Amino acid sequence: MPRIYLELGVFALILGAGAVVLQQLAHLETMMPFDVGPAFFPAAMAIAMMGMAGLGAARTIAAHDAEIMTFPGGRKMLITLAGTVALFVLWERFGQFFVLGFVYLAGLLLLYFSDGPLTRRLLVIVILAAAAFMGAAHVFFTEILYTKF
Amino acid sequence: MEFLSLIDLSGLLTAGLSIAFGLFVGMLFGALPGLGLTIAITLLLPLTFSMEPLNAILMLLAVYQAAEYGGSISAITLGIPGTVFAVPIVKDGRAMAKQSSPGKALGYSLYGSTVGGLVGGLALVLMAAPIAKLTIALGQAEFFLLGVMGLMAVTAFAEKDPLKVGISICAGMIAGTIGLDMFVGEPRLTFDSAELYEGLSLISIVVGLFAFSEVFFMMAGNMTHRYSFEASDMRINLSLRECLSAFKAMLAGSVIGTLLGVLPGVGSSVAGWLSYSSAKSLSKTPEEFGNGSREGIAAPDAANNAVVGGSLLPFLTLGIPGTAGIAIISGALIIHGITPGPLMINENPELIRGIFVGFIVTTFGMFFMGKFLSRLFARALVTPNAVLVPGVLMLSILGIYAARSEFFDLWLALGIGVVAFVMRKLDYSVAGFVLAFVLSPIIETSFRRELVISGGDLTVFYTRPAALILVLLNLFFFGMILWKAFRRTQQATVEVN
Repeated sequence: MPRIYLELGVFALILGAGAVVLQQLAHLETMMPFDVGPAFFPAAMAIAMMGMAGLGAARTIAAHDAEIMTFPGGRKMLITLAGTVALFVLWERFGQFFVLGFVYLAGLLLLYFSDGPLTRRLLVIVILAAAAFMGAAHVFFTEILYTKF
Repeated sequence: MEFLSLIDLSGLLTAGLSIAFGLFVGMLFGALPGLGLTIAITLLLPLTFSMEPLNAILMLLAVYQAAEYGGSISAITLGIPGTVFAVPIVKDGRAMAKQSSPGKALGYSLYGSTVGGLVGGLALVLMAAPIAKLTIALGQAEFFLLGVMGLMAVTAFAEKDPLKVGISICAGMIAGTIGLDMFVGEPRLTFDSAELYEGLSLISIVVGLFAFSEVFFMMAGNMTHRYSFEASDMRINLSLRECLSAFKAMLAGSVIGTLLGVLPGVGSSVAGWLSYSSAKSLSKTPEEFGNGSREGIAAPDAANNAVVGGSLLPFLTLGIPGTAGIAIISGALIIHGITPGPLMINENPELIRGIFVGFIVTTFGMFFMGKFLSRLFARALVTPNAVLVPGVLMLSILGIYAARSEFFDLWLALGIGVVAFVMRKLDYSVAGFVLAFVLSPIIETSFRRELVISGGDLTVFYTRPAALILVLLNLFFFGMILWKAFRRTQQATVEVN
């Protein structure tokens, strides 16, 4: 992806985020004498942020940067993100974090080791490692820290 | 025997174990390229919920100290700095490892780190009480200006585009204002979501910014790649003569590190390079720099560790965290209901004394752990990213949920992680964001409080002597930022032409 598009896209998002902040603060009023009010500070920051984003966008356009940005490992990143989202959704809905976590961890290990040859030995090691990690986490977090997962 | 009964042995034992655990994790994470001290502190932060405040702080400070040295292990053995602060050590460390032995280079690094840690620690012990006494006399205007100065300094000294650092800081400040307004109790930027009334969770923010975004970076390239290095002759054993030959550089680095640590927002990245160039100008053999100079290794390492003690000074006495690491550590204190600042020294004298003693113990602990276990940590460098990434992801998820048992925090951290990945790709500053997030309530509250106290009189922000000095310092940093931005624009114009 050309860097200029990504840069401009992010500057546009920042400008949009600043506008949302200002819109959200519009209803807040000052109640104490001499107090600038709850909206003043975030609004000032939003305006400064938008000003800098505008300046940055203008500078980016003027620079005509032809650099192409690459995202090596993008496929792995997307699969990891999808796996993490699936973990959160299933966990929130069905509970059983440590079982789901084991599947998630083993899945990630297999995904990342897929750069090299996948052997039966590796598969056994991955399953054992994921089980040991989640087992240790279960003991530590639920038995020592008393956190309910 | 009566004397023995006065000593809280279980307290000492738990404090010692907290320090040892922090040192181990810090040195390991500091050594592993890509992880580093912020991720180590971030991942251990949720554990501090169930700990005594003193043990929690000592563990996190031990992580900070040890990670600074740990970064040098990979810099010397592989030529890849484990942390950004170890960059000045790479050239000389690698050259000495090849010419002489890795153990020798690690020795200068460890002795430098220890001297730096001790000098920073002594400055902390000796200066904290007098500074705290002085700061009690400071008004809200001065606190506001100090907070702003921290952010100005981050922008001025950042290697990134000042405009993007500025945007990151503004975004961090806005994020810090989310939740109920502390003056009038009205919800701000909460989008009618009850989860946001208490503000954004610091743990979600730091995990998203540092841990999640970093693992996305680690996915680039071959994840099964294992680093290889020469494991022979890694024994750290410097003679007294060898140690003394670099002592001047260690001291110079320590003083520079302590002073720059005190200045909010400057931190290790500047201290390392500045001490390197200072050691070179003080050296009798400047031609050795870049070719395996012992002073070139010892000075930046001393500076990096001295920064830790130095940066604790404004944090403990003023409540102003000067580095991203200290900003995260401040979260651990706030979680325990302790507000860092001038009153803390009077209100929690035992905690402060414990931090002082623990800090010095931590420095010696780092020395012994480094001396005997550096080889083990160097061996950990062969761990491929295929193992590290799932480990960090799962520890992050466990940590976030253990902190508040809120699914909202998990989604927030994941969202922040993705955004931070893109922002880091485009050179925005995550350290600036997190520092602004932590400083935001301090800056806003002191500004508004001062205005209410002074009856809306803005002159209080520059008429008092201390305030005037801080205004001048802020103007100086602002000038630096403008100069840097101007230089960048000029360079870009030349490149385009």
